[in-house]
Amino acid sequence: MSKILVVEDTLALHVVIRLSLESAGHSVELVDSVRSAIIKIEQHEFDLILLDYNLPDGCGDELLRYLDDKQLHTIPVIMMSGSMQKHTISNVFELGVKDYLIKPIGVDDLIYHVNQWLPSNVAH
Amino acid sequence: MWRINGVQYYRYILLTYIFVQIGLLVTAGSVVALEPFNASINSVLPSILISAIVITVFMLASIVIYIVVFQTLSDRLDKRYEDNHRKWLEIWTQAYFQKTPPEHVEVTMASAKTLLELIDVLPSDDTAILQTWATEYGIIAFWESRLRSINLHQQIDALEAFATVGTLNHLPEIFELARRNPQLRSTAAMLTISTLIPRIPDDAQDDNIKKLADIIITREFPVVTIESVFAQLEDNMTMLIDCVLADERITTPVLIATINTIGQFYLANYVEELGQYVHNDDPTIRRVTLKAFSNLQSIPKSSYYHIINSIHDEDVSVREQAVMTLATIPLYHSRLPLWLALGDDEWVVRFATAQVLTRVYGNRGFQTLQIASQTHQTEVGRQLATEMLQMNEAI
Repeated sequence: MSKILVVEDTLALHVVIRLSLESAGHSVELVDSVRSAIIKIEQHEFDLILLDYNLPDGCGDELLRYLDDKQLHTIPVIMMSGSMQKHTISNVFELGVKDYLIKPIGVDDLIYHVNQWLPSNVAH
Repeated sequence: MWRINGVQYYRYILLTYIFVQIGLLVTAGSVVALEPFNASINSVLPSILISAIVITVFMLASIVIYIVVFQTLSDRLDKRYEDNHRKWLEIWTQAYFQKTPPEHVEVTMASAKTLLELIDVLPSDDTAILQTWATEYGIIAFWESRLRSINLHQQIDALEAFATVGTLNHLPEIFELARRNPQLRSTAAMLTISTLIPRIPDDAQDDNIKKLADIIITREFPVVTIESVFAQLEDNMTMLIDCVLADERITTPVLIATINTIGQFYLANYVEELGQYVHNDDPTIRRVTLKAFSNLQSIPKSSYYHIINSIHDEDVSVREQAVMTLATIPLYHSRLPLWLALGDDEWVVRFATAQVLTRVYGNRGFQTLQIASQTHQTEVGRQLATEMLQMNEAI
């Protein structure tokens, strides 16, 4: 069972993502801000981070910089955003994001992309 | 809603208190003024003052009690709503995953809102089942009753709900609300219409776009609101642009929003129209048109003339924008106008020119500045070019 950290501030998406990933056999931790995500990362180990770009206390790229500072590049990060702006997308890929999902995200799409980037699947 | 009502009641209590106090002060003042004519009135004064003090103490106490009670009740109601909200979100999402409708649906604000929230976060192709449940369980009817409510906030909530659900049955009613005051409701209705229009069958779109254009032109909406309407129309955006540009009644905010949209969405088909608006009487229109040209990224050669000509505009902000727009065309065509703009009467235009030369054109821009520092026909041009080169060397 893979452990996934979901950083998202929309309650409805919390529920949808949790149920989707749990149905795919993953364990999910949900937080709604950059700050609480950092606290969770300091306390637990995660196999993957699903990160919203716009969060109440900052942008998703702040968490990416934190991961970079702490040498946590091994955790794959999938960014979720409603923005299709070229510079936003290229900027987060430069910061080490593995995948970029444009909202609204379908349940099957979400599971497919998460499974694709889980370290256990990437190793194969 | 209870918070909005609570704050209103608080205002009423405070106003009553102020009016009672003013009344007492006026009475006390009258008694003092009448004292020389009627000595017996003097005995009334202490009782009026005591009444004022008693009422003040009573009113202050009642306001404090009201605030405490209101806060406590509101917190409880908030908590109850939040719990209900989470419960319903879980119910609807579970039902969505299992593709089986919930057994019993109680139509409340929480159940109605959460269904919409779920529809909103899922791709529209996946929400057909939720839309069906919205109709079957009376959620649509719930929002319909709010749309016809006399309460403005309920109506605005309902308009947002219909924008999410996407049902088209209420479109005529929503058009009606967009035509009427107050502006807040009219804006919400217009934004809902712009979300719904892309879902209308093609043969009915033309008529609805015309109605929307009429509302935009005849009512006074801010530029940003009109831009949001264009953006939400997605592929139908150009139909609305054609409609408003063809309308003789077009207002300045509508024209500015239209020009901005043309630039933001790179609608290169409208370069001819932009060429026309760059000569408009209103300097704001001329400026936003030049900005739209620069947003188009690839400006056709036939439009260079309009931009180059604008460096002689009488308005300084237009000349400044013209210089910045010149940065988007090849230096071969922009060198001469930029050379001229380097000697502009206004420092802001000269500085923008120097910035364009150094930041956009790089080495070729610096070469132009070096030549300008020696041979520019104006002293201000030579001076600025020298300063820019020195500044660059210092860096």
